[in-house]
Order: sequence, then C-alpha cells, then structure tokens
Amino acid sequence: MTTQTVATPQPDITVNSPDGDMPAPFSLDISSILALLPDDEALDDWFLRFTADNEDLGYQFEIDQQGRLWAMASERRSGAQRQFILQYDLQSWSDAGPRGEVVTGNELVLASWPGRRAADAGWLSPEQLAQMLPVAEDPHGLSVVPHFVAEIVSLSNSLESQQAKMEEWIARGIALGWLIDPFLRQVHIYRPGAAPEVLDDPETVSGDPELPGFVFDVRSRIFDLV
Amino acid sequence: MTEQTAFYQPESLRTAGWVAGDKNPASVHIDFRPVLELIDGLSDYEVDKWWLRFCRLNKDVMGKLEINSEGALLITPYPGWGGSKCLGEFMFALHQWAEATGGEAYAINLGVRLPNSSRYIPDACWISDEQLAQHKPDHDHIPLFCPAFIMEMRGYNEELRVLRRKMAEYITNGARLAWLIDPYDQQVHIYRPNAAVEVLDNPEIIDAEPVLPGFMFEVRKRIFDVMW
Repeated sequence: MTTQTVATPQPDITVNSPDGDMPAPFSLDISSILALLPDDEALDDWFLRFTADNEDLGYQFEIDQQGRLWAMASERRSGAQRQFILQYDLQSWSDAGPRGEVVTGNELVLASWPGRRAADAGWLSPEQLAQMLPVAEDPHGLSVVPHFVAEIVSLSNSLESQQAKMEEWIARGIALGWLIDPFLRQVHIYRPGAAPEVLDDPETVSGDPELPGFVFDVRSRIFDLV
Repeated sequence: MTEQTAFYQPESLRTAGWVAGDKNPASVHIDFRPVLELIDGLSDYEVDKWWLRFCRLNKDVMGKLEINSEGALLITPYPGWGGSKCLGEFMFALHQWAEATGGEAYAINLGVRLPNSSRYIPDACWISDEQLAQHKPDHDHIPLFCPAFIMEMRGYNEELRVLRRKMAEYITNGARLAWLIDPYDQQVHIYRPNAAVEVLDNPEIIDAEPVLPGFMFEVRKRIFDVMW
C-alpha cells in the first residue's frame, strides 16, 4: 500500500542547500499576512511562535520595514567572535563610564510597524533605560530603539543588506551607527541627516560625541582577527 | 585593504544574490502553521485570493510555493536548463496525446487544491473531460480536486522522501495515476490507487494505461539521456 496516514500533523521542516553546510538564506514578502494582525503585541506573539516553530532550521529571522521576512543563516565562528568582541568592549566602556546597557544580537528591537530587527551590537543610554518599562510589562522585544547600533558584515549577510538595515536604524532614530566590513576593512559611520562617512582600514574608531570616550580598536579587534 | 582579506567572503555569496535573498536555489520547508492559523477564519474564496496574492508578492523567490496538509510551506526552485527542456518535451507529448484523445494537459503553473487542504503545483498534469465538466477554471478561485494524472520530476536539491509523500497524497486525494520521474537515479516511480508503488530502473518507454489510453513517453531518450 502506498497510502500512509500521518498520526501527528507536525510539519517536516528541512533546508536542502546547494552549499552543503550553510543553510540557504531566503526572504519572503509576508506583508499580506502581517496585515491580518491587529497590533504590535499580536505581531510579537505571532512572530515568537513562528520563530519557535522554525527553530530547528537554524535561521535567524527578522522582519524589515516593508513587511519582508528575512531568514538569515546563523553566524559562523568568525562572525560570532567579532560580534562578541565589540559587545565586550562596549560593555567595558559602559561599565567604566556612563553605565548604560549593551544590546546583543539576541534581542529583537521593535522598529516601526512591522519591523522586527536585531542589532549585532547596540547600546542603550542611561536616559533610555530610565524610560523603559519593567521586564514583566514588556515581555517581547525592546520597545526603545538603541542610542547606538553597530552591524558587522559576515558570511551570513552582505554589505548591501547591512547598508539597508543601517538606513532603517537611522530612520528609526539612532544617534550613531557603525557598519563594520571586515572583508573590505572599512567602517561606515552613520549619523542622522548626513551621508555615511567611510573610513578605509582605520586603526581605531571613536564614538565621540554620542558615546563619550569610547574608542574601539577596530583593526586589532576585528580586521586582524583570523 | 589587501586582496586576500577582500576575498574572504566567497564571491559566489555576493554575486549570486543568495545573501540578499532575491534568488532561492535551495529547497526550503518552513513551518507555516502560525500563518495558516491567522487565515483560519476566512472563507475558502478569501483564502484562495490571499494565497494567490501571497504567491504574486513572492514571485522573486523564483520557485514553486506550495503548502502541504501539515502546514509546511514548501519552496522548490524552478527547474534549470536541463529540467525545463525535459519538462517541455514531456508537455509536448502529453499535449499532443490530449488533443487527439480528450481532456486537457496543464504545465507547471497550475495550482491545485487537494481535499486534504494541500496546495500543490504539479510539474505536469492532465484533467479528464469529466473533471473539466465539474470544475470550471476561474482566475480567483482554485477548485478543490486532484487532476486524474500527475507527473512530477525530481529537481536539483529535492529530496525523494518529500516527493514520495507528495505522490502518495495525490493518489489518496483522487489522482488515478501519478508518475515521479527521477533523472538523478534514472528511475520512474509509478503510483496508482490501491496498488504498491512500482519502481522502474532506467526504462526506455513508460505507458500510462489505462488512465491515459495509448499515451507512451520515451523517458530514456527525452529525459535520462539529456545532460544533467
């Protein structure tokens, strides 16, 4: 008999990528689905459920401002290492000085409807922390857009996609953004109302005046990392 | 900047548009139940309209979008050079037969809705005259039935396990004959109601008796011998 009845209706989820070990990134326009959701809270609940159901595929999911779902490959060792180093240096600076909070890539930030984005590294200023709701009242993503956001180009994304994301962050109201490309050894500095400034193979980048006193040794900490 | 470090990111990733997500060369199955629950309250007609709109919005995925009865979204890349040529050959033969004998032959862009709620796009199918009399084609509505004859051809990166399940679904939902042509293993799997699956190893010709009386297809010459 060829007929088989499936007892539990659990979808069989797989990725068959021509690139073997790397899950193929893809994107889908889900705006027609998001239009059925009444508010941010419903979207958060829905998105949490969706990402949990598809956890085994090994993607990192985000939704951009146009309602497109991005399934990105998780970071590999080099990308994860670079993110961690930047977060670590940011944390050390923050603890010694202004005492804000570092945002890691695991937190989704509520951009304007229906965007749900995660930053490779970010920083919330003490003023922003003061306006935030207690965790119990705000169980989903971060409802405050960080003061500072950094994105790092890696094997699982591209310069173009990170540039588009940076534009979204600026439109959403961050004060300073860094786009670090370890392949081209460049740092693009984004500030509201100005074209991005590109530094070629700088030794350090300074966060002044938005991050007073923060100087990041981008060459030794990121570019020269093997 | 040095040449070596600039080359670190594989060139193919940047140029093939993989990372940007505008091409989708892999077949991906994602759990779509959270989406299907959202549209649960809609009428059949509204769901069909929603689904057609969703497919239109996602044309740039460059693949078939299908939903199976368990609620997974299947993204299957369109066939490339070899696959398209072979599908064309098959369609030509099927169409010629249908014109002389009866019924209608459809190519890869006909969406079908099965009674078990799967929405599939067979690589080729044939709808009998009796079925055509009952189900009138309509732009906004997808009729609920399974064509009498279905052909699926295994594509690059498609798993046999997944295709086998799909074929069995066609049969349990009303197809009278279904062929799975696998050019990679040079096999044809033949599915019929109430019969075990018959697997032919590198056959020269396959015939579709008794569902499509007189239809023969030179599968070795037209598909297996084409360069893959």
